[in-house]
Amino acid sequence: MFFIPKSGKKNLDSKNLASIVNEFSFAEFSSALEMLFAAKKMGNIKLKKGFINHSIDEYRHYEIFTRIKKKLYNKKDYAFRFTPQIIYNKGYISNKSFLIEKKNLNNFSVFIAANETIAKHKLENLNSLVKQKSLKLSLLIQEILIDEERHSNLSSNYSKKKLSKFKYWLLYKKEEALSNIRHLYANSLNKTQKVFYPVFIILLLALSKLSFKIDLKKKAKSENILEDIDPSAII
Amino acid sequence: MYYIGVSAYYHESSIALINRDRIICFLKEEWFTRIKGDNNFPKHSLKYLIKNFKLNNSNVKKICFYEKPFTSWWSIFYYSIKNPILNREFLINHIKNFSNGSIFFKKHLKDIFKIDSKKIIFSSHHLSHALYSASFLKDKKENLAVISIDGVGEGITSSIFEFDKHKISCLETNEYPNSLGLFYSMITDFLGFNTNEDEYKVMSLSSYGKPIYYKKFLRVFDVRKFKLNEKYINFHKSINKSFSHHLEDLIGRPFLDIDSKENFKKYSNIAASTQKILEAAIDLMLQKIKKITNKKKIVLCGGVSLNCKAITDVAKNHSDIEIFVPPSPGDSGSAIGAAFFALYQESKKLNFCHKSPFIGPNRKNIINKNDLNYFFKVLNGSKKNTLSEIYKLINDGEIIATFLGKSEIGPRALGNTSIICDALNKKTVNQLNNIIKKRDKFQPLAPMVLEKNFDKYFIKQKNIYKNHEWMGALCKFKQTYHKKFKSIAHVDGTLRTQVVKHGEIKNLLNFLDKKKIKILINTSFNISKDPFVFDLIDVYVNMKRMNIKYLYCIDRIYIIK
Repeated sequence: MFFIPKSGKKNLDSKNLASIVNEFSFAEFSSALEMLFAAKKMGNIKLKKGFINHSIDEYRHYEIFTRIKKKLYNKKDYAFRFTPQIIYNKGYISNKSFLIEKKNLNNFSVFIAANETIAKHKLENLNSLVKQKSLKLSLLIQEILIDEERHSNLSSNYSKKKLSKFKYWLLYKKEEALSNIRHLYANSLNKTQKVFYPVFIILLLALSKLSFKIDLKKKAKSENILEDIDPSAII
Repeated sequence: MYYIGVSAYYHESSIALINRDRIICFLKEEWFTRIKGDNNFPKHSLKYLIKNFKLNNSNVKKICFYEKPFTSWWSIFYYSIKNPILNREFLINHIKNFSNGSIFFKKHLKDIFKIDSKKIIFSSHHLSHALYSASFLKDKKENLAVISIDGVGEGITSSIFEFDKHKISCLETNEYPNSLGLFYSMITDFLGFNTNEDEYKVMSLSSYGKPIYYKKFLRVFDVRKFKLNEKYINFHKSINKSFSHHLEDLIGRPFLDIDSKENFKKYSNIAASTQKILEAAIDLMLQKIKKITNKKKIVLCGGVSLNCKAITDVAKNHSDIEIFVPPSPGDSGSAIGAAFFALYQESKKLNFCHKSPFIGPNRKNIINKNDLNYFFKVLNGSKKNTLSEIYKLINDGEIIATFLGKSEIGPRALGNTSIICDALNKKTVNQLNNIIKKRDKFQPLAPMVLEKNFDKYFIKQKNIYKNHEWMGALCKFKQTYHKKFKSIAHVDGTLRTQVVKHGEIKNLLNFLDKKKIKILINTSFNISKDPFVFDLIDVYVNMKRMNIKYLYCIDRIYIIK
């Protein structure tokens, strides 16, 4: 869910390029978790193995992107710090559920097929940008591209076996559209935030006038804290 | 009847289930989601408990959250709102987090578990720490006082408690932002590490340096007054940068690359100075608590007490008291404290007790035999030969992953979810640390040893010895063994040695002991940035990723397919 500049754009500096690669690393890490969770839900051992292999591939991609990022921009910066929790904040994984908990297996495989294809196109764009900086790093991305194509084929082959042609096409288009909407939403977040910014400031100013009335400072001492605490209260 | 304790929304979420006064199960949400430090409501953990213990509204007596949600949210907000424009970035984020936060604990709980609202109760942050920690000590009436020190909880950054028969007195508290935990995290951030995660790296780094910035840091954190100078902090303003430009003026540029020799030296000096501030502050707190309570046993809890270097160094000045740190002194362990708080509401007694750091689910119950046979192959013919097979492998310089018994509660693997090898094999030790675990060059690995061998190899510091059961303290090799084991000791000669007294790993160590292998290296079975492995699929994926071949699991040694 991030913006990739057009491949023809040439004046992208290493830091900006590294930040795009960074987003790819988040996406791959999240994908590894989704596949791992799906593997655990599978009763069929072959499907389980398939999802496990997919997960291991995604973990490897995450590590490759992390390496590429460091090669492109090796300075410490808040924007490049990786804490696993960040994938929730950035919306790569929902904190409500994993995808396999919401979708049945057929829908999930169509989702993978559609999104791996989208990811492949984005990677091709990224690859042409990285190539301008380093041929070596570009080769690493090509390695990932091969995997992505394989993942997409495996998923689409599975779902094509299970679904009618029309249903597959319908679900594929739906997943494609949803993915585009998600990207659009993610890319417009900054603009939305700017719109709401003044509202927040007004809210903060109002709260600052009222807040002094709610001082929840606790007593520094208590003779019997177990009895002094009201167990039903949230204060 | 069951009691449930929950800790969530700030550090790693966890859930504890107790029946009468016994802990039945403890789970961390990160084990399920594989997102280290996952702080969301522990829904997967709760679902696991509901399914495996058939929990329902009638057999659950109470569910307790570990702190007061609104007080926790408001106390930080209250501090920052005094300057709404200056602190707007932090405040806006704090407001946005409101709907995902602990204030909606009841709703998040009821979405998964239908339970009477009256059964849902709330403990208090530092009290939950104290109750969990004290539960490790059999007799709460004995000379016991508790110091809880962490970042912040309900606006309180540290508390001193005194236990007495059936009551607990709170003798003193310190308030936000005067926090030793936040000070340490702020320097962690300054050095370019992740806050709330990499503080242990600062601790390791500190051994390489000299505390030459100590006097300067006293301006930042006044240890006598337990006061953090607002001039240097930024965590009440920003969601990223926790220190102000004044700190940069004081000690120089942040985020330097420590791969360069010069920067490494500078940053290790900063880490050493930070560590000295921490130790000086804890030392003063201990002096104070001894004076006020005259107790002979002092429990340290809260995230700060995970700093085993500070515990060890400070304990040297207090040989007249026993200093005890439980295996999971941070917020996740507080789920147990919350469950005991719920139990207290019924029993009005403080007689709960537990001993073992192994209270996660039993692996025998979660391993799917079909998966085991599909992904692994048994290496030896019979169960009888397992230990001798392991001996052969270890002797040949192999690395073995373990997946045994019940999982560990704390942040340190204690043999049940570990990767082990021979401590004397330098090549294997280096391979494990640098290639497999990919740890920073300044981070040492930890040894494990049988209790009967501890005195032979290590110098015992009696008043913290108990903490070695879960790597909660440091020690040094005796002079005779210094040279022989130099490669596994830290630069200052210390080791986070584990004394093995529990679990199946003890049987293995007993066997190896007869074969003259006395000390093993033990590191957690996970990859950096990942939580410990939880089930067999995690085991397989992690072994593949780390390129580990052998697994010791349920009385057998397996080879990965």
